[in-house]
Parts: sequence; structure tokens; C-alpha cells
Amino acid sequence: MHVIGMGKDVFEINKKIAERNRKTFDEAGVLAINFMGAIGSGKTAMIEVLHKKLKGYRIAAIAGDIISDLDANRLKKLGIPVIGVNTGKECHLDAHLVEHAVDHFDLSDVDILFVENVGNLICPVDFDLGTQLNVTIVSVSEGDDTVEKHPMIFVSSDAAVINKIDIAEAVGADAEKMRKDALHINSKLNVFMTSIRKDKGIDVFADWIIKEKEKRK
Amino acid sequence: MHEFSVASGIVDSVLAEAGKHGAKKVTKIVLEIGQLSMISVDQLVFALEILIEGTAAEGAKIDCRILPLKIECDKKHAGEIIPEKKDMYSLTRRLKCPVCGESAKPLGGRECMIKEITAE
Repeated sequence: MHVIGMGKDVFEINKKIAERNRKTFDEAGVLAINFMGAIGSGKTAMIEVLHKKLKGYRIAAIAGDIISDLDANRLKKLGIPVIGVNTGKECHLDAHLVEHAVDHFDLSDVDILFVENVGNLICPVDFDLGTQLNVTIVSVSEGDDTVEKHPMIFVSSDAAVINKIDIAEAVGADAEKMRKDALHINSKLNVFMTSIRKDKGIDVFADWIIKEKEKRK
Repeated sequence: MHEFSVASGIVDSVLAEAGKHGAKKVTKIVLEIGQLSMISVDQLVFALEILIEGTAAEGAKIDCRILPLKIECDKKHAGEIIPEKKDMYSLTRRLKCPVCGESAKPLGGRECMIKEITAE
């Protein structure tokens, strides 16, 4: 009987591919943004509205879903390059899936790449995709304790978007509490309060994306 | 719920390593899991026990160790946190520097390591 030391990180392969993706995006001058959030938080709708706001930038998207191509088809209607990725049983995108999806784009025609993750606030945390920015979208209808109940995703994010603030009163949610919770978890977080339907706060969020994009020129 | 795919990766690596050393049987698998990893240890062990059935690692003892969380604050103080409770709520509330009380960031904590295996 003998002990064999392994010291092998199970996530090592994902981390390596994520680094490779980050290098690919940096070298191509593409700003890649991972949009994480629960089912129905407004990830697809946010990409749709940002496409309108980010005029002058060439947008592309990767739409992650468990089995369907509904989100990919919605985004294709914008007339932008879209690759749908089905994860099958998995609850998150990983760096490997993103790398394969990126192969289908000509990155020299892309300025900003939105990567829409699978609707989930837990599993995507463990899987770096290699995007330069990670954004978590949470809607007030998920309950105003959602942020404090899922701290790790906000620790790993560069920005948090508190969405659907126009219906906060109707669903009995305190959007301001959600903002404070997010900043309490991660004081460096950029927090945006938005309503896509009422076009509130989207310009501020879009401006932040533009600033991040220009910073990398 | 990604414990099953993580477990599957662990079993592949363990069997490959055992094969490399000419081992016929794996009797113990030691894992180290970071406290900020979103892996549920109970579910991981459950998945591993199923996946090792019928392999050279069938019946192996699975030893899952939780790693203490290393942190660093903006003033570069470093420390370790070993929460009394394993739940994420108590953990993130305590992501403060043990020296100056400022908010601290984790250095790692997402590990999922196969530390060692015992084979014969």
C-alpha cells in the first residue's frame, strides 16, 4: 500500500482555458462580458436593450441555455452574430464551451461580446469563463433578500444590476436594500438600478460598459 | 448542481494516476475543498461513491477536508478564517480583516483539489 501525492486541482483545466479565452479577447480588442443571473432576471432583455444603447459598437452574443435555443433566436433578431450553447444537464457555462463558441465568430468584427450564462446564481461562480467582466443581474421580483442569500456571485462580480425596479412596490421589494446588500458583500462592486420597460438606469449602465471598453483600447 | 461532473473529473484523474503507478486498487481518496467553492461536500461524496462502483477505486474511503480560508485586506494584512459554521452567510459576513477590521478579499478559497490517493 502506498500513498500517491496528486495535488491536482479539479478546476485547473477550466482555469487554463479561461486564461486562454481572456488572452484571445484581449488580443482581439474584444470586451467580453459574462451576464449571470437567475431565470427571468432579465439577462436576454438587457442584452437586447444594450444593443440599442451601444450604437457604434459591433455587438455579438453567446446565449447559454440548458436545452432550448429560444434566447439565441431572440438575440438573432437583433441582426447580430449569435451562437447558442446548450449545456445539456449542466447549470452553468464553462470556459471550454465558451472557447468553442468563440471559434464560430470572426473576432475582428466584434467590439463587445455578451455571454449570457445559464439562469443560476450558484454554479456559475465556480467557473471562470475568461470574460474580462462579470455582471450579475438580479430582479426585485426574486425578493429583496436574494442578494444577501447569494453572496458569492457578488464577490465574483464587477457589477450588479438591480433590475425591474419599476415593479418593486408591487412585489413588496426594497430595491435600495438590495443595492446596500450588494455593496456590503463587495464594496468595489458597481451597482446599477434599472428598469428595462421604463428605460430607467440603462444609459448609466451602458456608459459604464463604454468606459470599460474604451479603457482597454 | 455540478457535483456530478466534478466527481466524474475526480474519478477519471484518480484512476489515471493509479494506472500510471501500476496500482490495482485505490483504497483512499483525499480531497481538499475550499470554503468558497460552491460544491456541496455531501453531494460530491454521494456522486463519487456511485461513480467508483465497478472501478479500481470501488469501496475507497473518501476523505473530504475543508481548507481554511486565507484572506487579505486593502492594507495587505493577511489572515485565515475558520468559521464555526460552514454556511455561506456566516462566512461572507466575516470577510473582514482580522487585524484592522476593513473588508477583506479571499485569496483563493475556491479549491477543489485531489490531494492524494492511497493505492495498492
